[in-house]
Amino acid sequence: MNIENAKSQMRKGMLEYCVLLLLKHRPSYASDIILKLKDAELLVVEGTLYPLLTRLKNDGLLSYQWQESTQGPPRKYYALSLEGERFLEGLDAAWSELSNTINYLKNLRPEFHL
Amino acid sequence: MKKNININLCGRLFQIDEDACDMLQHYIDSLRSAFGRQEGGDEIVDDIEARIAELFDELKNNGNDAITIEHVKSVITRIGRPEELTGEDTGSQKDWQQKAEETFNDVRSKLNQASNKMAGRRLYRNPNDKMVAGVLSGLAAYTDIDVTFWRLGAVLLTFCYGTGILLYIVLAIILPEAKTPEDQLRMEGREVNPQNLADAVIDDRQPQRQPSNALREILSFLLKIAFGFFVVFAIFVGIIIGITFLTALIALVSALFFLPMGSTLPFSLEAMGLAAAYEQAPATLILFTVALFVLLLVPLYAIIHMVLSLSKKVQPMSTGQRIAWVVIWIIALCCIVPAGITVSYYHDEQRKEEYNQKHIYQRDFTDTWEQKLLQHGEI
Repeated sequence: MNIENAKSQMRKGMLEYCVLLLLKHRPSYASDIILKLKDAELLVVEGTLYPLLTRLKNDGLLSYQWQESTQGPPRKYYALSLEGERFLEGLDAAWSELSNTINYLKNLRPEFHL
Repeated sequence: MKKNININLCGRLFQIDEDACDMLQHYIDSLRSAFGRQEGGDEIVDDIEARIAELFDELKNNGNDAITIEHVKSVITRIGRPEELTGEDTGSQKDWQQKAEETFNDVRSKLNQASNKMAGRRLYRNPNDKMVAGVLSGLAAYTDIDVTFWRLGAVLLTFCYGTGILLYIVLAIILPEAKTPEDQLRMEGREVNPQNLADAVIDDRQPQRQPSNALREILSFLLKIAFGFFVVFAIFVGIIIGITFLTALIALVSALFFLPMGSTLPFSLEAMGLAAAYEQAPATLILFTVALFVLLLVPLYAIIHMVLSLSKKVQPMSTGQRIAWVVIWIIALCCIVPAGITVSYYHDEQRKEEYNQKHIYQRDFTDTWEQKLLQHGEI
């Protein structure tokens, strides 16, 4: 049970980065993002996305447009704003740092003290 | 057949069953109250409503004319329960003081609730957490006492001459199972209204996992082993007793009804030492036979009925029927003891008489060993 908790915590931290990465490619809407995340093997409950997208929009990182759709009610298409793109670059740098740290720690060999 | 109503979700019309609509309404309401404290919370719930409308549209396009409660359940599972969704994105930490206050109020209201709850509760067998038949689980739900304690108590009671097992079997027969969500609510003493019904269904998704600690794990494991032993032992004992009683029953019945009186064929009354009993206290002998018959056949009937009801061939027995059969069985049990004692008394008498007849000239020379056997009707 504890490893699941740890994984879930890690995923929660990464979710924002993943969503921004997805939206960098092209604008998309909530349920499509879920499917793409599923392709990327990150499983999230649909409902967690809506608060996240709204917060990112309120922080100015995303903007949205309403688009009519043939299959149902109109959808919000989210896209990265200029600020969002800069934020994403910052996240890329942060991810590299983290990745380096983890790799360093994993490859650490025990030192023998006499 | 269910009532169907029209709803307007994000400007689109859907036809939905009444119970499904209640569940959906409750879900959306709890979302609103959960996100109400956040900034932009309303917008979030609006987005979710739009998503629900999308999903309903999909259902309609796939040929479903009406939204059923099953559809709503799967939508709720897909989108997530309110507790899962909030706290994902709130950065604010609650005040310690606020938390303390809330805990205090919680405890107070829980105490009130508890005393009110006990009033309207009913005892069922709980199918959600059963090891055998859910009897102890049902008791746990009824009394709010952890089920592990009940299981421990049952095991200890069983060491007292098997009282635990006997009580458990009796309760398992008498108590009905809490099949519908309404039953589950009544078992826990909660009021049966659409809100709680929706809760019960949503909670069903997650089987209640209690926080496990080492003690509970060990106890569970030991219980499982003990249980395994009991099952094997009980089956073994049951088979032996069953065969013995069955043989006795067959012998008695055939002796009473099929063989002529006074004959000396191997299983006649005479040969079994029961002729005296038949002469002196025929009613008691017959009572003994009937009680034995009931003792054997009622459980057999119950088992057959249970198997058939599981495969839906017949309706499961009502509580009244179950109680009636249990009572009849207990009466038979109470009759067989004095009847058996009386019959065995006459049996001993007969044997003594036979022995005397056989050794009428040797009576004065019987040694102490033979005298003892004589007293006990062995010869």
